[in-house]
Amino acid sequence: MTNQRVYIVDDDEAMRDSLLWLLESQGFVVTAFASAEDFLAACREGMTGCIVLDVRMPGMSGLELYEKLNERRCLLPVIFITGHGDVPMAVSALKKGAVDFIEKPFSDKDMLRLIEQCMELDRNNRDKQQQTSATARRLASLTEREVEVMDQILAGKLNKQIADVLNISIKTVEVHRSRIMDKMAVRTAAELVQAVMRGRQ
Amino acid sequence: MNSESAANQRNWVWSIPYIAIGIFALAMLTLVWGLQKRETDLQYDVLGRDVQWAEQTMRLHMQGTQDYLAQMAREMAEDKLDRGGFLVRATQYLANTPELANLVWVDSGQIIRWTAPFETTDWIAGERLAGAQPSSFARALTSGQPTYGETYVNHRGAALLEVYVPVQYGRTYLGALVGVYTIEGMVRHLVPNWFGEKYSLSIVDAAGTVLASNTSVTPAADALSYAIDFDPPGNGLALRAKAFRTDPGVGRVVPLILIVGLTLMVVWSLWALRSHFQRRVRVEKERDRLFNLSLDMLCIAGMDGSFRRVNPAFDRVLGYSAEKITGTPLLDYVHPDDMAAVVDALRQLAAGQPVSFESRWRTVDGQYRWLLWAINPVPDEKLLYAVAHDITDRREDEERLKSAYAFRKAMGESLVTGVRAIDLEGRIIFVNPAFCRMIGWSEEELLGLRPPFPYWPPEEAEQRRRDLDLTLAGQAPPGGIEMRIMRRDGHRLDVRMYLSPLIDSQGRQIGWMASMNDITDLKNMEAETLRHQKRLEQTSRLITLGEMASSLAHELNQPLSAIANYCMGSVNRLKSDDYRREDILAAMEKASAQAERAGKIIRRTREFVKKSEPVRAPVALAEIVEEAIGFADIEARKAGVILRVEIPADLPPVFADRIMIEQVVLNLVKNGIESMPQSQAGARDLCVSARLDGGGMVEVAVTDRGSGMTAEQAERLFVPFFTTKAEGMGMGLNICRSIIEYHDGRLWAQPNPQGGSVFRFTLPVP
Repeated sequence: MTNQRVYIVDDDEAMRDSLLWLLESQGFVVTAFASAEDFLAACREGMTGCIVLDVRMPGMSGLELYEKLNERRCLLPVIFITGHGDVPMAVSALKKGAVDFIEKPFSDKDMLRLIEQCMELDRNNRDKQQQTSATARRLASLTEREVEVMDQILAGKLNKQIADVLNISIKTVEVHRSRIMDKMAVRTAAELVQAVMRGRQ
Repeated sequence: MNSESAANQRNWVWSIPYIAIGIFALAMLTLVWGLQKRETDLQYDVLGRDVQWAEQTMRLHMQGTQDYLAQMAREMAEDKLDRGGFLVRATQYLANTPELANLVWVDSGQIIRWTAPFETTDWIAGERLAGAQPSSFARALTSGQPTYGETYVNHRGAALLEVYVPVQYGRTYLGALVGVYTIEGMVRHLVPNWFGEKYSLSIVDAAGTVLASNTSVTPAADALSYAIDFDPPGNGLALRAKAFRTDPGVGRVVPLILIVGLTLMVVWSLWALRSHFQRRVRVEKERDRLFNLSLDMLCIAGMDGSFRRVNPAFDRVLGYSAEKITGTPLLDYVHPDDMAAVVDALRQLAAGQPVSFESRWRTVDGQYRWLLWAINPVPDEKLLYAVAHDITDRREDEERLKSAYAFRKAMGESLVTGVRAIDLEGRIIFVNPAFCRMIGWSEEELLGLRPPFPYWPPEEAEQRRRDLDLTLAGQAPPGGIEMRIMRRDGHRLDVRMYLSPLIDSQGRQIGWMASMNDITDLKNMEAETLRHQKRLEQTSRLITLGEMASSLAHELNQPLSAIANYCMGSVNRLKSDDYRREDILAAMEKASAQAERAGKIIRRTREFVKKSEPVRAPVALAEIVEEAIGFADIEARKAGVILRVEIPADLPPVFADRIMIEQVVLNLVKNGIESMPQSQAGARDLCVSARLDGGGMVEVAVTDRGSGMTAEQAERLFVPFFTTKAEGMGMGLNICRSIIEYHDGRLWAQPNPQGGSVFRFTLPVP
C-alpha cells in the first residue's frame, strides 16, 4: 500500500497550493484538483489513499461530490474542510459516512493526524475487501451439492441429520464436509461461518 | 322553315296589299278620270250649243242693225231723212245699241258726209275712206247687199268692224251707211250676261288674234273652248268661247285628292304598319334575347302559382331545365321555412299588389339558394311577371360581415382596454365603452370633439397637447405614452396609451387608433415597490453591518489558512533538512501574497463601514415612526397586533440619522410584535409614543402588552448574543443601543405596569 495518495479538491488556488506544500512536507504524495468535476473525471478503480474535500465550491459542491463517490462505491475515506457556518453541512456529511471534518484555519498537526487516520482506514478497507473477494471465490468454487451440505452445516445440523434430510449416506456427508473445509480454507465450523458471512457481504 | 325564307315569304306576303291598293287606286283614278272626261265632254257639248246660240244671237242682233240701217238707207234714198233727222235717229239708235260705235253716211264718192254721234272724232265729215274701207265700200255697192269689212284696229287700239249698207235709189247708188261695231262691244253686248259669266267670248280673226273679249279675265289655258265661224261677218272671223270653270276646281279635284290622299294614307298606314310590325318583331327578338341571356331569373307565372314560362337562367341558377319546371307550381321549390312568406306574397299578388321578398329555393341537387324576388301581377291576364336575383353570396357575405361585426363589437365593448380613434386632424371619431367608462364621459359627448379634450388635466394640458402633436406627426413612441388624465369628476388617473395608424378598407390612413390602459394601480405598485426596495436597502445596509462581521471572518479565513499552511510546510522541510532554497522562497512569497489579500479584505470592509456612516440632521420624529410602522404593518396585521402611534403634532424635530433611528424603531416594534403571540389572550396592541422629557430631549416609548420580562432578563437584555427568541442571534438590541448612544441618547427597557414591556430611548433636539 505504498502508493497511497492524498487527493485535494478545493476551488481556492491558495488553499490548494499551500495545502499541497504542507502535506508534501509531511511526506505524503499529493494530487490536487481545482473542482469536483475534475476529480470525478480522474477518479479510477485502484486509487488508494484519502480525499481532502472543500465543502464550499462553485459548481458541484463538496457534498454532492461525496454522494457521487458513494454511488460509485468509491472506498476512499473523505475529510471535509469547512469554513465559517458550514458546520451543519459537515455534520450531515459525517452522518453519511465521511471520516471527519476540519475547520479553517486548522493546525497542521490536526490535519496530519486526520490524514494518517484515513490512510490506515484505507489500508484496512482494502485488506477487508481482498479477504472478502477471496472468500467469495472460494464459495463460488463449491458444487451445488456441497452448497446444500454447507447450508446444513451452517444450520448447526449433525452429519446424521444432514444425511437424512438430503437422503444420502453419512459417509457421503463426511466426504462433502471435508471437501468444503478444504475449499473454504477453514478448520472449524465456526471459522466456516465467519468465512461465509464475509464472503456473502 | 328558316328565318331567311320566312322573311322572304313575309316580304312577298307584304307586297300583296300594296299591289291591291295600287290596283284599287288605279281603278278609282280611272273611274274618276272617266267621269271627269264625260263631264268634260258634256260640257263641251253644252259649250258648242251655247256658242252656236251666241253666234245666232249675235247674228240676229247684227241682222237687226242691218235691217235698221237698210230702213234708214231707204229713207235716205227717198230723201225723207235729212241730216238732222239722221243724227237724231242715229244717235238714238246708237244709244240703244252699245255695240255700235258710229253710224256714218258715206256718199258715193267715198266721202264721209254725216257722222253720228255728233262729237265723234273717228269719222270726220269730209274725209275720204281709207285703208281697207274703200274696197269694202265698193263691194257693198257692187253687191247691193250689206257687206262687212275686215276688222281693223283704230289709232286708239280698239278693234272695229264695219258693215256697209248701200243706199240706192233705183239703180243709183247714193252711198252707203256704215255701221261701226266695236268688236269689244259686240262680244259684250250682243250676248246676254249669263253667257258672259259662263264663257269668255272672244272674236278672233283669221290669224287667230283675239280682237276682243268679253272679259279681261282669261280662262285657264286648258279650259274648254269652242270656236265657230262668224259669218256674216265672215272674213275669217270666228267666235271663240272658253268656258270658265263654273264649278270650282275643287269639285273636280276633291275626289282626286281624296282618292290619292286616301290611297296614300292607306299605303302609308300599310307601310307604317309594316315597319311597326318589323320593329315589334325586332323588339320581340331583343326582348327574347334579353329574356334568354339574363343572368337574373325571369319568369311568367299564373295567378295559381305555376310557372308558365321561364328563362334559361333558371337552369343556370337552380338547375331546372325549362321543360321540367314549366307547369309546376312554384311553391314546390320553396324552402319549408319560407313557405308562409311566399304564400302571403301570392295572396298580395292576387289582390293586385306587386311584391318583393327574399326567400330560399331548392336547387335540383337539393341545396337551397337565397333569391330576391320582384313580382308584378297583371290581373287582367291573370299572370305574374317575376324577376329573381340570386343573393345567396350576398347573404353569406352579409352573415359573415354581421358576425364579424358582432364579434368585433362584442370585443370592443367587452374590452377593459379603452379604445379611441381620431381622424388626421385630431377629432374624435370613435370611442368604445371601456374608454368612456374610464374617463366618465359618454360617447355622444366625445364624438366629434376637437382638442383640447375634456379629459386633459389643466396642469398637464401642455404636455398632452405635445403628445397629441407627436401622434399626429406619426412619431408616437412604439412603447406607448404614459400620461395622466382627468375623469369627469376631476379624479386623476395614470394611463398608458399605445398608438397605431388607422387604415380604411382602401388602405388609406384616415386617422389614429389609440388603446388606453389604466396603469394607476401599476404605478402605485411600482411606487410601493420602489419604496419597499429603498427601505429594504436601508434596512439591509444596517443588517449587513451585523453580518459584516461574520463575512469578514469567513473571508479572512482563506488567506489565513493558506499562510499557516505555507509556513508550517516550510518549517517541516527545514526541520527535516529536506528542502530546496527556491521552494522555500516560493512558499514564503506565496504566503506574503496571501497576507496582502487579507489586508485588502480588511480595507474593503473599512470602506464599506465608512460609507454607511450616519448623517445626522433635524428630522421629524413622526415621519420616522410612520415609515417604520409602515414597514412593520404587514407583520402586525399577520400577527393580529394593533399598532398605535401617539405623537403630538407640536413635537420638535430631533437631530438624528433618519435611517438609523428608523431601524431602531423598527427593531423595537418588531420585538414588541413578536412578544405578543397569537396564543396570548387579552389585548394585543403596540403603542409608539413620544414626548419631551424634562431635560430637552425627545423621549420615544414603544409599549407592548406581551409577556414582559424578568429582572434578570432585563439586565442581560443588551448583552450581545443574548436572546430569548428561539431563532434569534441576539444582535438587534445591542446595535440599537449603540446607535442611540452614538446619537447622545439613551436606550433602556422597563416593565409595563399593565403587562408587557416598555422600551424607551431619547434623542437630542437640534
